[in-house]
Amino acid sequence: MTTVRELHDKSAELAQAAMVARHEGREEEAKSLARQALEYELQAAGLVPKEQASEPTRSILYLSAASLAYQCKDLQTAQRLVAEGLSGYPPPKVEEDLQDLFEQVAQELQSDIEYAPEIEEAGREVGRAAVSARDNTRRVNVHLRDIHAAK
Amino acid sequence: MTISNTSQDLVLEALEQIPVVRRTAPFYQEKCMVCLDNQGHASEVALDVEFGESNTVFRVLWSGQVTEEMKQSHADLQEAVEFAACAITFLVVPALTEMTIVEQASRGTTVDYYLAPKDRDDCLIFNRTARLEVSGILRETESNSVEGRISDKLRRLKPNPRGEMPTFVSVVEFGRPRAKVVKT
Repeated sequence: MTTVRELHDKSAELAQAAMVARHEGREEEAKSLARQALEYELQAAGLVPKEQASEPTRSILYLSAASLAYQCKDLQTAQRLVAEGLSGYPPPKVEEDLQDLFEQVAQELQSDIEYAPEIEEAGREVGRAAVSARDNTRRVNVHLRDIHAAK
Repeated sequence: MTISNTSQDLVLEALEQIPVVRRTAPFYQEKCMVCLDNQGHASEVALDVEFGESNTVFRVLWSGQVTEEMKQSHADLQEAVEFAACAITFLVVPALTEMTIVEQASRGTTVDYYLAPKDRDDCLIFNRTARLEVSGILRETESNSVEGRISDKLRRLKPNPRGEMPTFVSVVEFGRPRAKVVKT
């Protein structure tokens, strides 16, 4: 049976390779390696029971998995994994790291919402609709004035 | 009292034997070679390491040469110094303690390292672990010294009243070269 140790070592090895790829500007490869590392780390974390005696191993594994999800830009998964880590019995230092990561992810999610192209396009559509409605109103007003003038 | 130990060998190629850095050992090795070469050192250079009350002199060994291409690809030596300091630390800590590097996770610009006993458990792999903080200095000056960097790192560490997860702080300097490792 594969142990937590074997799964984590595999994950850490891939995470290292991802770090080097990112450092050397191979972004896509870095993401792919981080994604593979995440799969192994999730398996490792899943094998550790959620009990006080499992700490700090359990919370560090979830912190590590959340960091990998963050590197893959899978922000929702990163948040879920941080929450999973916090739901156990993390020691103060790890808890603080989990909270820092949660804030980092939350900030990115917020900026994604602010700068999301689909929201920008939706805003433009609303703007176009408003201009169109204004023009229509003006046309109707001109038409009404013409009717009044004709009377 | 300071205890001086005789010379031990630190072979950069041995980074490949550390599971976590198996795949990336050449990356770390190259940074280390470039930094030592930049400071006029070659393979077999003596490295003084201070850890607690002991001083140990290591011989740093590697094969191969630092090429012009390698030097040119490390125009930003400050970045290389941090990885080079990690390479030395990854080899020094297991040589001086019962711990070895088990984790390296990066979040943005923050890098976390953990150390675990060499005989760690197969399941609770981070129980009995320690954190590791590493920093590198290409050539120390009065305002940027090993001792100063250690003090900065120690000041920034969060209190650990119950001693549940100690921290090792390692600062490596490539001018002399020397390193200092402190355990909180």
